[in-house]
Amino acid sequence: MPTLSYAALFVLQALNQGHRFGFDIMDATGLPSGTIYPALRRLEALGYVESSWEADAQARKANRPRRRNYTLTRSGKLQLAEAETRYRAVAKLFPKRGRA
Amino acid sequence: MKRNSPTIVLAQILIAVAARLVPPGDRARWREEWLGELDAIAARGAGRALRFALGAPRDAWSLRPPTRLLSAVAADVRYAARQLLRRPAHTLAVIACLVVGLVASVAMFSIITSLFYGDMPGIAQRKELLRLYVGYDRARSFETNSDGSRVVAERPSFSDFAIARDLSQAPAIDVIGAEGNLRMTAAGTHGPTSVAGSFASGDFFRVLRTVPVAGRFFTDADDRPGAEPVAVVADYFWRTHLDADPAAIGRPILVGGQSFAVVGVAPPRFHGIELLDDGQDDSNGVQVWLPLAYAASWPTHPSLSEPWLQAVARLKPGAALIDAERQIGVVAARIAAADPDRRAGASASLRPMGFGPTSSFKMFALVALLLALPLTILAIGCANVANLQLARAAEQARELAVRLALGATRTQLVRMLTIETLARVVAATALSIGIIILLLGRLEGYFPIFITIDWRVMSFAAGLALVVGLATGLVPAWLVLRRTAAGQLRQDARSGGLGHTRLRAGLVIAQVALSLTLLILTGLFARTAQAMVADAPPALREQLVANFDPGELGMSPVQARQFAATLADRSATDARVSAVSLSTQDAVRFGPSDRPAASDQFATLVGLTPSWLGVMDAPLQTGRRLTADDDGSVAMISARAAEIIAPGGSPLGLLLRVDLAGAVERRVRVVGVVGDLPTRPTVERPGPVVYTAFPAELAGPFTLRLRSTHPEALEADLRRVIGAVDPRITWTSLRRGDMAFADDAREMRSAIYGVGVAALVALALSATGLYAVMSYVVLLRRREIGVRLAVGAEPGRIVAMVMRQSFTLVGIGMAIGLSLAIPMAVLMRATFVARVPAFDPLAFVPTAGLLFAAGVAASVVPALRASRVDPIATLRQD
Repeated sequence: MPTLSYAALFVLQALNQGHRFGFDIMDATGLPSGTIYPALRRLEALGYVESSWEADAQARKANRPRRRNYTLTRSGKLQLAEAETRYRAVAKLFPKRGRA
Repeated sequence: MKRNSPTIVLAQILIAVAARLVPPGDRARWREEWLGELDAIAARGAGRALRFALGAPRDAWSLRPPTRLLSAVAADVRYAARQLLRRPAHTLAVIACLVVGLVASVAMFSIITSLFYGDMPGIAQRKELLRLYVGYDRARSFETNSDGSRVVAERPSFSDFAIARDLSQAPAIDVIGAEGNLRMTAAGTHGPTSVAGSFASGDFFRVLRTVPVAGRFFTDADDRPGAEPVAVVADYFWRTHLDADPAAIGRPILVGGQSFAVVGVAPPRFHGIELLDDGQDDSNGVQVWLPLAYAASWPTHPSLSEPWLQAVARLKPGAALIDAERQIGVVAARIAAADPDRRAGASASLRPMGFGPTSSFKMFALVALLLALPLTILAIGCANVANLQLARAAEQARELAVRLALGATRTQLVRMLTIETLARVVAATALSIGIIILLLGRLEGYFPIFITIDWRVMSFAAGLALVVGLATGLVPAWLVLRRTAAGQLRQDARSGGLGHTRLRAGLVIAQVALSLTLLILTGLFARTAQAMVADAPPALREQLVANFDPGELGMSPVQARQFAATLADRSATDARVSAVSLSTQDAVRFGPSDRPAASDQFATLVGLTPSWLGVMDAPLQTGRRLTADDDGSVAMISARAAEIIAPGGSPLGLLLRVDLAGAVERRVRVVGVVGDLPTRPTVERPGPVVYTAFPAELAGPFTLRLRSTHPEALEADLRRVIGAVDPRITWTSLRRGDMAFADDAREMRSAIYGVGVAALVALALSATGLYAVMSYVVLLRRREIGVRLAVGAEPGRIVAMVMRQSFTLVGIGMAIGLSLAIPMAVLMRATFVARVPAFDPLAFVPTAGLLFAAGVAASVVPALRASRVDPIATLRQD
């Protein structure tokens, strides 16, 4: 199983919540574009994410370039679920913030 | 949307530039995607759009087709950089310890090896150079081999060299040259001065491969009887006496009253074969070289059989010393055949020039000791690094366990830590090299040779630092991989380190032990130097001592004697002067005349006027003093000499053979014994001395001593008197007696500075190590201390508790250090500091006290910190 970075996990979570464009994911996660896009490329290469381009006609009508949107694949959803379980277990090992 | 605002245009340019990094096949789509998003964001503000575009280069870079390993390593490098920056104090501390260790050890090592093997100014490939010595029955000098056996090794004489130079065609030896030093009076544009001069054979500069800064050096044609008189001057002389004038080449200068045309200028700081003594500068080195052929007709030339020349040969490339030695055997046979009376059984030997003529056992011991110093500092520095890294290990292990739990592989963990450690060692090494180069550049002026960084040692030291760094830097990985991840995570980070606290304590103990050893060594050296200077006869403080070499001017021995006598008489007329003496000093071999000459011993022969004994306060032990009526047939001897020639009996009345090389053998009868008086500072008991009457003919230098309660006040007047007696004459030195004496202890003082600096660096490093360990121990025991305070312990008791723990470490370290220092002190006493008892309390007690004080200083802060632990906060943490 490939190792996922925190950033990749955040991206998976954002996609799972329905954010589809790189810019939306940035907004949702608070991570910079230079982190989001490489993560998306990696997740796509691993088969957790797939992308499609918006219709050419639509973009031309609005006089702007086409946008690319991303969605979670089935294995991406499985991966996310597994990682969340693991992170919850990890989180329990740390004392909660604010106690010390 | 303002698509054309400058910020948006800037963002678009950034994306277009970044797109160049994307592989061409994906580039169009990549640009479309980024521009599409930029367009969407631009509606929310130009600033956000620009921030968005700033991520494009990173994305584009990530799309470059990397090799897998490289990209992984790049990630690890980034991780390492983040780790280093996240804990700047730790990073700086590790780097600082490594830098101190590396700089101190490599710089010291470089200086030592440069002194022995480095290139001297104007001498190329010193390693190929060999000094030629001859040995024969009556030679006065010897060398001690590393096995302690002695071989007679004398400088070659004129006649010896004349035979040896014919061997220049030998297969293993490239060329043989020689120089012989004499003091001369040389006059440039600013009048005459007494300088060190030298006669050099035609091949001399060719052997050394010296390159002139102007003009040329001697050729074989210059070194023939009847050749045009030519001279080569030192760079210093050219600057100070010829105004650095390029036109000085070809111009005549007066040397010893004769005119010589300057043909060349030697390179800066080059003064022939002999290194300048410690503390001497360019003005003390040889200033003028004349062709060796002129030496034979020079007024003060030594006799043909006087061992006076320094001969040097260059080994042919690829030839071995043993081949050259075999060929030089032929020289010995010819020397013996040429002078069967004096040179029967002559031998010849070659010694590498690097180690100098005294590669004796003592020298080896000193060198071994000197080389051990930098290594000790390096070891202490590395121990500190190990300590700091281990302190962090527990904390880092936890973080690594998290990574492992998240799916990092073991290889990745090890790779990450390796790169982190490498980064520190590389940074420290680079910094150290820079500092060492600067430092050696600064120090070079203080040494007579070129000081170059010893890259072998640098590699070794950096390698050692790397090994120690890796061994301790990888401990966290080992800790993690050894246990299950969950087990590691659950363990309290602060107890995780207790296991190797013992290791760290061990390191501190080792540091303390090594530091104490170095400190005691410094103490022993310091006490030795103190003893050497303290041994100066008290009478020296009330003397003004002037040395002269009238022969320099071409005075005949009779004239020279007359000059000395006049000078003494005139000086005595000053009412402040209570006594005046004249003396000469020579090296001789002596022994009872009824014993074979082979058993003769080396001694100093002092020729003196009867007043000398009073001027020096020399205590008469038995017999009588020399009087003005005595001639050269009677002598007094020193107590040491008496023990040698008549052990247990009385030497009075014994007939001694005194052999002054190059002169006729003398027989003298012993009439008195005086107590030992050191003629120069020495680490051993003063050697044997034979005192005879001041010679009627004065062939060499002599010393004038004026006894007065205020010797400094006489200085200006004495200069005037000298000028009045003979305005041509210059003194070779003129100082208060005890100062001239102390000057000779310079070498020992330099050794003390060297060892002392090393010891202080070691002490500082050890104190840092102790501080780090005690701080860590306090951190580990925080909870326990909190509980103690909560149940009512006094803060003072907590301080005492921590200090006790610290003192235990220091105490054990000191005990080990003492057990190391004692055999070393015994060895030193056996070799070169014989004057000081091995267990000199003044060498041991203050140094141990200093170390103890450093230990207290290093642990007092952690101890106070422990006493201020807040019990409630500590208990709540768990």
